[in-house]
Amino acid sequence: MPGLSFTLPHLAYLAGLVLFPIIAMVLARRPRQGPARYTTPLAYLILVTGGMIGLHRLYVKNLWGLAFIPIFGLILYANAMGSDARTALSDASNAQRVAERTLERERPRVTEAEAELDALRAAVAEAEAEEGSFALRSAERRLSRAEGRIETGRERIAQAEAELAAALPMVAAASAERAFWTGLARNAFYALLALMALDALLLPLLVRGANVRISETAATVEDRRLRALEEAERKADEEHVSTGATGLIDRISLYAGEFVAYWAVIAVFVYYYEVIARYVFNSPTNWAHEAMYLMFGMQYLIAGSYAMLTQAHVRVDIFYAPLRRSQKAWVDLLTSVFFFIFAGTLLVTSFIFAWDAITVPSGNGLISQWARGQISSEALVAQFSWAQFIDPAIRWGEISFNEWEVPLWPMKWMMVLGAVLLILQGLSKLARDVQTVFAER
Amino acid sequence: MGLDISIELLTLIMFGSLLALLMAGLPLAFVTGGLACVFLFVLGDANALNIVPSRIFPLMTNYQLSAIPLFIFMAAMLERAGIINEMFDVIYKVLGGVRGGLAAATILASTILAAMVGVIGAAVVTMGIIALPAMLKRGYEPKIAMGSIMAGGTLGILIPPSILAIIYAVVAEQSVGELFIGAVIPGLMLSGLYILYVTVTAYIRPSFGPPIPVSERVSGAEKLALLGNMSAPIALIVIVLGVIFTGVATPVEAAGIGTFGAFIVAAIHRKLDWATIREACLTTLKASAMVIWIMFGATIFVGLYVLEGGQQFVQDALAGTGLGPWGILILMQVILVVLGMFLDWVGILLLAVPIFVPIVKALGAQAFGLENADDLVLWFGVLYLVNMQMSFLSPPFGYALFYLRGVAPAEIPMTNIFRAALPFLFLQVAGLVACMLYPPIITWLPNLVYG
Repeated sequence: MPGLSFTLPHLAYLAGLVLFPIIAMVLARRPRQGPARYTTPLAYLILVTGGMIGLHRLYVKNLWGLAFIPIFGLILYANAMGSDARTALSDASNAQRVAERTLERERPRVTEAEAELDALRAAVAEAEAEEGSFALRSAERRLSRAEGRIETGRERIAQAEAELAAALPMVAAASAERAFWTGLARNAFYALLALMALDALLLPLLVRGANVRISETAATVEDRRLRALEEAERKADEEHVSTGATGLIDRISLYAGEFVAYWAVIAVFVYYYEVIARYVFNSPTNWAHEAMYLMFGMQYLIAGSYAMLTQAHVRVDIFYAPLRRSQKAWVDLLTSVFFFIFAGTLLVTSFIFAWDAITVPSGNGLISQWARGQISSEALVAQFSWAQFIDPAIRWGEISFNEWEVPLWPMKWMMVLGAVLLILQGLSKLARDVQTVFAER
Repeated sequence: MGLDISIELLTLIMFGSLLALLMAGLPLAFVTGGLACVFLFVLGDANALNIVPSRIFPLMTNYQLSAIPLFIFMAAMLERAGIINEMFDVIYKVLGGVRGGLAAATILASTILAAMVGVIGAAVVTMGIIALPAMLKRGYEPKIAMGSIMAGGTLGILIPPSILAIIYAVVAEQSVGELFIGAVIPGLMLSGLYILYVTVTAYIRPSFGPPIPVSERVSGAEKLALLGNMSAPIALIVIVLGVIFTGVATPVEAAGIGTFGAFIVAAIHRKLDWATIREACLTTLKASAMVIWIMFGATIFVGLYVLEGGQQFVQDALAGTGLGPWGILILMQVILVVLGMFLDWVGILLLAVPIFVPIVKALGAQAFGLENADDLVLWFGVLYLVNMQMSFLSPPFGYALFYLRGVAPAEIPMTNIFRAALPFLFLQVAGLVACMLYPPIITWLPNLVYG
């Protein structure tokens, strides 16, 4: 099975987080054209991402796609068996190595002891002349010790030889088994690739066929009500945007929210990639999980002001909802004190938190040096170069402890940004409440 | 300022001001966050405020939590693909010939839906639009019709993947997968009880749930073809829950795969375009921001309260009531259900669970006839989920009632909606009691799977 050893570069990660939402925002604003049909580009996208499971055929409602699933299942099964065989192989070759090492160690010892044996026997015979003497006792003791050593050595050799004899066929069997399963997985994978290549040619035909078979059923009353509800929901977010100066703030929250909202789409494809890489190509990544939870972490912070604008933050409205508009404005003015305490504290403390992430000793970029007060602002501007961005050895601040070593400081600065957006949104609401209160007079 | 306030007084001030600000309509996230900052300053000093980012950052980098936006995203995509609609249509055609079949179909569709969706709003609203007119048109008793929609909708909290279960697992430091599995049997049991109830009622009082006329029924072959239409969403559920339960992938990865599947299902229904994706993304963003910001505020607030000895205080106060372990457990559940009438579910979880779980642990697993502490926390977690379900359905403020009110015909008075919920609420109590008296309903399956 071919491996996938792809590590997402940090710069590509950050660039993706910026570029993908921009593309999505542009695409989502194109008007819908006519009745929905099956499209060839989407079919190819599905072929590339899910073609191994036959999803492209299922997309065009062609049930032959189901035929891909057993082959795909075979790959997963063969991979699982292959990794079992690998474990067995490493156990068996371990046993083999241990036995071989024992033989290596014991054999010379035994030969050495055997060589000494004659000399020792001669010594005993010589010493026998003086019966009961100290020399005889010591010579006899040395002889019996040497004999004992030979005996245990022979035992060990016999045991190790038996173990080796048992291990060798196991190693052979396990490696044969492993070769069989990896070969099977590889062949099944190539078979799938061949089928996908064939389908890549057939796909336009399949799409055309599916479009011919579309039968539109008349929309029922319920369908129309559902669609109206969705339509209302869609417009509702934009209706929260006010006019004038506060409208500008509202629009910032609206766009910032929409921008980070598209990150969820990235996560879907990255997690899918991770699982496929792990189970089909046996190469789990070291970046997918971290990249995604950090991305969502940033999303939550930026989303705070969007949720505030669209009033998605839940509140208890038993007493609040029945109030008149001006009463609501008054109550909001009073409670906004606590909102600003929270948002203000968040801004100040997260700024300290984020600043600390830049000044950490491990930060070796010019910005870090400047933040630590080691170089002046003029020096920062004068020495700043493109290398600060692209040199992988340069760190602007705190990085993650995990293997991927992604910079953590941008996530901490997102907290500051989130707090700024939240305060701006709070000011927008405050201004509108003041307006309402004065309009009442 | 470093004021020294006794814990009794502090409890009163902290929760009194919490209540006052909540009633004034400030969103829960900002109430807890703002008050936490005020009390951090009052009880400590300006430096203590630096706790704020250092409590928020771990939540931002929490791996398990990223399952929340992903599961919401999956539900949002499936909803826009028209799955809910189609599912009811299929099940109701299959079951329509049976007495009470439409109500049973509603509950069954809600159960399947609950296995795709972790929140309840969408299910109740959509079923209210599709299933309610269908049942009323065919002469169903409105109370049965509305009750089955609301009760079915609340199953989303219990049946995995439930957002609430993920948050409980994160707060109580449990495995998400174990909690998911633990909630399966209670969820199916409740769903079964509802179906049994509507079917039995329809047989006793035939006018409550008449079968649809013979002319509208479909043949066996057509039924099979209809079920074929449902294969894609069902396969999706099997894959998502299957990979979680077998431990092949983490709940987060399962959510990612599930959302990928939801994209494909939407594509098959010709609903996958950028405008749809945008709407689903924005829905997801709002729902997850709502949940996570409450977590931000509430963890600081409750963390401070626990730090000041609040947890010990509540524990002593409960011990002082002279109730046994069971009495304390029941008291805690009553508190949960009452809180549920006013507060949002995420808020309740974050305010109550960090205080309640240590108390339950201190009472010990043996006091409830359980084997070990892990089982105990799991058991309490699922009981908590059932409690939350009840609070969604309990008049006068249960969310499900208001979701349905929003889409039900105007001529149905609110009191009728309340009354419709009552029998199902009673069934939930029965289910809860069963789970309490016989814990293996909850603990058996997780122990079987995880050993």
